[in-house]
Amino acid sequence: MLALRVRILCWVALLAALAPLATPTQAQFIPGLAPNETEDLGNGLYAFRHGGYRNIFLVTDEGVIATDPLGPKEAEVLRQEIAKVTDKPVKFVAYSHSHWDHVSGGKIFKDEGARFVAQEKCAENISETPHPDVIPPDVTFADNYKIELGGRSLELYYFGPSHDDCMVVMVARPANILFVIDIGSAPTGWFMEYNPTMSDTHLYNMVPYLRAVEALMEREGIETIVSGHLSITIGDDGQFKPLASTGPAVAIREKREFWEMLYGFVRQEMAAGASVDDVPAKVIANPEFQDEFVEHIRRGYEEEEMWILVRRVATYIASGR
Amino acid sequence: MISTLLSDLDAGLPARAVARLAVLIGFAAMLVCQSMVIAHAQNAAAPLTSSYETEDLGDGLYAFRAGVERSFFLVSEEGVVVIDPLNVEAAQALRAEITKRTDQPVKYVVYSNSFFERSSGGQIFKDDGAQFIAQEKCAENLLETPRTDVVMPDVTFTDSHVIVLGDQTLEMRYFGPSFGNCFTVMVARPANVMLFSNIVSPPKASLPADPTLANYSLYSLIGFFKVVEAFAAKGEIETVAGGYATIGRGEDGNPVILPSTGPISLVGEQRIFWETLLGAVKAAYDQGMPARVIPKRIDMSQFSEYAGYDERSLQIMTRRIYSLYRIGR
Repeated sequence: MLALRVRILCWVALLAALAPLATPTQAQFIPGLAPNETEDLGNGLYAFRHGGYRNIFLVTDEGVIATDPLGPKEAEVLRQEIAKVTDKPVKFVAYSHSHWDHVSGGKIFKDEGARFVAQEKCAENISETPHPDVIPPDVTFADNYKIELGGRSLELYYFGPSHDDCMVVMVARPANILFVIDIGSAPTGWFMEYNPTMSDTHLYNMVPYLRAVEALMEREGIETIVSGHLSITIGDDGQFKPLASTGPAVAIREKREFWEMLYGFVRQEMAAGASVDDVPAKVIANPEFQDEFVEHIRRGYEEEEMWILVRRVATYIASGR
Repeated sequence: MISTLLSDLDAGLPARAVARLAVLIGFAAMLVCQSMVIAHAQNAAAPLTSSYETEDLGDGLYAFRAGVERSFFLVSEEGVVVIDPLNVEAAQALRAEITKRTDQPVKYVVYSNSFFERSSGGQIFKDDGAQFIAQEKCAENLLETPRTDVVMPDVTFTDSHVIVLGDQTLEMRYFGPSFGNCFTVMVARPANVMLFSNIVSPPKASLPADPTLANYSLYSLIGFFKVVEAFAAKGEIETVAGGYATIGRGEDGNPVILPSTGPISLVGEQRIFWETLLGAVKAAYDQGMPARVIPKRIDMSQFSEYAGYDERSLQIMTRRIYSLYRIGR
């Protein structure tokens, strides 16, 4: 039997789903897990978790660079956590992408004068589907952008559509740690997707996007990633346990391989004549798929979830999107 | 069968009368089908859907089915307009079908969206000199994810484009993101039939074929349907034809392919389905119900007569729809 200890639940997922229910449910889900925590990653970089969501903030002598505010209540807690570390104001807020669950709640920082930075398509998305809790960006960019403050910096890199069409990865300097949200997670790429319908995800560019992130990390000598969600494992005692916020860069390569292999199995069945509706059952029944793909998945695997994910990929292979 | 019947009728009746009969026959078939168990094409009838079929919708408008996908073509005395070549093999069969009806060349090929299962295979018409037309975002999509058997559009438009060829007119209208970001609704005249390559699948309102709702722009879908309904009402359009085949089963259990047309009210019926489903998920979301609990709490049984009704599919859809309220898309 695959040891429970190696089964990593991307219940990132479940926690994200539970977020609207707030702390009591999470406390029941993982006994002893604090509703929020702030972690010092060194060189002025901090990771802040609220429920299943995480952002980073960078503290300098001249002010703070914050990222995704996560929601009005979450941003209030974040503001308090920042104040415990520094009395400097938040000068910038950088958005990772445009989804409301990450970018809501920035008003508290806007009120203290922060400038909001996002990829230009995020601004379009926020304009097209506005939310009262989402502050539109003041500064937009096309490919990459560097926020410099007090001798430290946060670099934002855009590699095309992935999870929404404006997702960026961020590199904090001098910590040299990459912040990745939703498209990859520490400690491994081998977990199931939170929502297998892949809402607002551009499957056609996932592999090139992740390859570009790999190349960036290689070029810049980045060895550590910090993820935008909490990952959880099941311990030997059968209890859920939170995993570390950071992990090795290889998790990005693993996620790319996850997609490449999955696309390959789906293509193979479709080339053999399977319809988009027949593909999921055929792929799941394929012993090679079980041995070479499912075996790698370090939890989160449920056959129904995989059926949905394969069905979504089948549409991508058939339609190009 | 319908195509044969219409072909026989066509010999002795003026075109407009044939068109009216075509619609009547289509609606009669719908009524008969109410006693049938109706399923989506992909769930049944492989022998039927592996074949090609051409349906005469009257006034120079034809529906051509290849498997479960349908394209359309308009025949005039000055040439032919093809709507979606589908794929290389289907396009060859389509051209053969066109040749049976006219010796006029294909002058235009138009795309209803940029998805490969609709837009592939046009080279055979390109070689004949046809001009390719699509909404501008379709062109962007095809440029971004090119495929060797997809011909790039020569002409693009933003909101609308009208092709006039002989006595035929094809009006192409883009009403914003709906099914993909360039889905185009068309009206063929003088038939006065609205063409939906997807998301409305006559002769019945239906559940979406893909339960993951890949490529649906949920945030703008209801608005899209409302605009289309207003547009149809203004143009006094009474009939809609669909690009996705629906299969029914006769009382003898044998599958039959249902006709491609139905009343324009299907657009509104489809909107009501979406409003109800989205509304139910939103109500559950607003109550704080987790994403994986909602699927079990949604009751859509009022739509059990819709083609392709399937509770598991609906449960999968709710997973996708949850995101609309959580992430905004």
